Amino acid sequence: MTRISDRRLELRHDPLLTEKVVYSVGPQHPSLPAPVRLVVQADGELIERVTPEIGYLHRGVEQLCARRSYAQCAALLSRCEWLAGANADYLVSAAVEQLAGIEVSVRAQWLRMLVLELSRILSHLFWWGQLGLEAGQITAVFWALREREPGLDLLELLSGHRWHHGWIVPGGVRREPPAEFYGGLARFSGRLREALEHFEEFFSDNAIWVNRSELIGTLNSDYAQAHGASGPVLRASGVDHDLRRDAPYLQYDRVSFSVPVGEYGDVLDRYQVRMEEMRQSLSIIAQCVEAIAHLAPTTGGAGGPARSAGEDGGHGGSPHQGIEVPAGEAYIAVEGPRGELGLSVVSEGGPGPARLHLRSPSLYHLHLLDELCRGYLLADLFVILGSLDIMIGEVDR
Amino acid sequence: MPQDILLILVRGVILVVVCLTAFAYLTYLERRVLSWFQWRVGPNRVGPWGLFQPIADGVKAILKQELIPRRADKVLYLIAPIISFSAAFTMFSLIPVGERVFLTDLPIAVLVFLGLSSLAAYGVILAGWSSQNRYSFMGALRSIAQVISYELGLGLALMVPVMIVGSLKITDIGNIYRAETWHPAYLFVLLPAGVLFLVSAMAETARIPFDLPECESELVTGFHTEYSSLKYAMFPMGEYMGMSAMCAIAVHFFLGGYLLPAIGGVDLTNWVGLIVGNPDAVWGPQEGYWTVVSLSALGLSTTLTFVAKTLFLILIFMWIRATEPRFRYDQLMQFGWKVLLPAGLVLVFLAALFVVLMPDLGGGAQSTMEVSMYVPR
Amino acid sequence: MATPVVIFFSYLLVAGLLVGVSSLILLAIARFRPYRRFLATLAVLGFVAFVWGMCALTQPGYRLLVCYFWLFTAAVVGGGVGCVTMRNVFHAALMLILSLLGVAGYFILVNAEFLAMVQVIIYIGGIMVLFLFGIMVSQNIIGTQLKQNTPQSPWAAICAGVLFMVMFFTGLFMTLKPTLTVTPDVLGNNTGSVGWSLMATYALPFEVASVLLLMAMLGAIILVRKD
Repeated sequence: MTRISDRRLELRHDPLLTEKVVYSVGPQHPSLPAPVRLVVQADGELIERVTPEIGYLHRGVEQLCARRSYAQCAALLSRCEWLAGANADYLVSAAVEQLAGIEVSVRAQWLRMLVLELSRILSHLFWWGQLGLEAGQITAVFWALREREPGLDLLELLSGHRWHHGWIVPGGVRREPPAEFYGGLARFSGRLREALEHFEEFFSDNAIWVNRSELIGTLNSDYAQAHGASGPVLRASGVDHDLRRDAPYLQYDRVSFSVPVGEYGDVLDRYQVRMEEMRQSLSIIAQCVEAIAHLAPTTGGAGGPARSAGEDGGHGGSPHQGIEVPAGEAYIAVEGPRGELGLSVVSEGGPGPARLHLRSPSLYHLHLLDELCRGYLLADLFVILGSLDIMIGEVDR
Repeated sequence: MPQDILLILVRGVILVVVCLTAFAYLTYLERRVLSWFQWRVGPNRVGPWGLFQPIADGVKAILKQELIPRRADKVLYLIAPIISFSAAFTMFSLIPVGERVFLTDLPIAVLVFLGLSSLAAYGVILAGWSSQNRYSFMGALRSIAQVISYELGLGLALMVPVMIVGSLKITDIGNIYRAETWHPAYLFVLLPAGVLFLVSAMAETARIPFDLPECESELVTGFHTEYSSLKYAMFPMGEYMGMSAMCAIAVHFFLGGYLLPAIGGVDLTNWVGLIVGNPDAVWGPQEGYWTVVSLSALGLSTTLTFVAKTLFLILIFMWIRATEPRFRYDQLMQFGWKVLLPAGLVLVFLAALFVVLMPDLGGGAQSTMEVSMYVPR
Repeated sequence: MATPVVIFFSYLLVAGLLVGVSSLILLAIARFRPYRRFLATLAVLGFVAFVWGMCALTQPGYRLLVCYFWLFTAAVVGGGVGCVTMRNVFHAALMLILSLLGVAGYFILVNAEFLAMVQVIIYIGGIMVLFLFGIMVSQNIIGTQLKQNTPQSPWAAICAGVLFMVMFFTGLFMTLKPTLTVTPDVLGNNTGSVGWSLMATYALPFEVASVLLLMAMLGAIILVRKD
């Protein structure tokens, strides 16, 4: 299947004065996952400009974090990245560890990797269902949620919470996974591997979908790099860049996985990159499980979390409220499900950060919409939006 | 004349009652069928198996608060749902549902059907224009374009059996499938025409994958975004009735109408007709009572056959809705004009060749059943 | 046979006609716009009275027919008048649809069902939909609506009046001297007869007309093409 050219339409500059239509998509709209307003200027249905207006979900999370302990920061940040909350937990923990110079045991690193990959899969599954809704494929979302459910159950088994886990803590992970976790994980993986094949039938094998996604919303690699695109969006544009491989953290340099790269940067490429990423994540999870099996659990929980007296006191707050982090600055980045999720922390000593900033990929991707949608039709806007997998909670913090 | 008016009224009441019940349970059926496709349960709480759900839905729709946008064009805003609702219902009155069971059997039923389906578009147009909402407006524009484009495919597909039979009367066309008039060669044109008709009908009734006038993820709900309460409910009613009417017409034109299947050369309709429809032949001359019984048995069996066939097509529509993504607007138009229209023209041409080359086959089914039981004087 | 009943209904008829027509004329004059609702009610009441009188004065077997005839006439005349007097172009187009529907009704009354349905399918389902499409995309989508404002209306009125007189007298003489004989075949299944006429008897003129239409269509497409 070769794709010949861009299907972007020429914007017309009529000698006849035709009036432009302005559609206000959102802040409440059935195809938006969370409130954001897109001001779409169009010539009929041909989009000329998309201006995202953000801020409808702004909760002042970064400001709140500046007055709270690191554990509370993790809880708040996981409310920004709610589809893969483990990433936020990891970012905060890694920042604390870097600032305080805490070494994390290898086993805990493997466990963290496992959970991070699991949340990537769960996030991508949700994206897949959402994309189906955007494309008018109403069954996809239910199938996606059905496969996602056992994964959420696994995380609940692990941490007691389905979305906001707080399982990755500074120094390691909160507790050893229960014995039944690995069995459940194997069942989940096996099932998902099969389900992914069925999922392909919904979209990749469907002529209508291929027609709607092929060469739609193309993003060239230069523009993508210049505008801070990352993650699957960047890779779909043909830039072979993955933090897990290029700037390995945890034990990512010890697993083997391939990084899917697209060619045209269109909706279909972004779709295929994400689908392949799910398969790769499954293989990473399998490698993690194998590595964990060969490492004996250390004493004092999984990897010996840095707990201090604050935990035993038990008056409110989190168990490691008392961590004293020395002054300094740290920037931690992970390859999140949506792209490079970074956390910049400025510490002036004390139990919490003086300033904290989240680098959210969705914010950058949302502002790619103008370039992506220009010259396409109104109907494409929603498919493109779906293919970017934008999380508004991350955009508005 | 008073009896005539009374008869018309009674028929109207029967039509509305039957159609409304059918509509209510079609929504139930669709919700259950979609849930089976989507690994969920669907409505199962109200009454046994959730069977009272449509009633609860209806009560809810009626009792909801009615909102009319301040800047709406009030008269048109009120007329729009009535048009789309009544056009779909009138469509249903054209369709015979069984042997000698029909409300009307017009000699130009096919044309009336096409006319009504184009009138139904006005409901959408007026709704979209009068609501003064961009999404509604866009939905209306798309709907206009879609209806105009796909009506051609629809009409051409219907013309194929019409040309073979040489009549615009629905019962005449259904009669082509009787064992004595059927010829396997008909399949060459009727089968593709049936597919063409179903695709066009799906577009005409704006079902997924052609549901662009109201596609939820783009246009909120399209042309009826600004409608609420019972007026909102009238659009889905019209849509479902339109869909069922299309399926019913498809059954008559391409699936053998209300006739029972002929198995192994034995025409079951004739068989039923022979045993119960014509008891004289079996048990000697009978009077009064037996005639009524046999006629009702024949009517009942054919009606049930018809309903089963129509449901089958409706289930296909639901199946497609559960599994296909939506077309893009321009792709839809291209599909209509560049694929369906040429295909329809080719089929009509083939049908014309058919009629010319085999004149002894065509028109054989004309007017074998001139029954005036329910036809007004 | 001037029984009191007949005299009553004659008066009713004439009074209804007068009231209806005068209120319609007043409606068309801009000065009386504030009383629009009242005048419209009067016009409808006058129309009802007129139809009632008409029905009462006809033979029992034809009353329904007469009723329908005047209903369709109201649609045709009302739609036509509305079409030229409505300020909003969209409303004017809808009025034209009403008028065309009335004509379709006439066709049914004279047993020309085929023509009636063709009128509905082609004029209402096709051409008028395109009209509305054009109106909808050429006005501001929301807000001020395109108004019709025609300075030539007096000239148009004179032309229309002359044409109407011509047609009226032609029609009058035609009805006075009926030359068309209606055969039972025409009253029966006339769809087939129309088909035979178009495709066999008058095949050449029919084809010439269709070629002409095709040329017009191609011409329109070439005119609006950009390059």
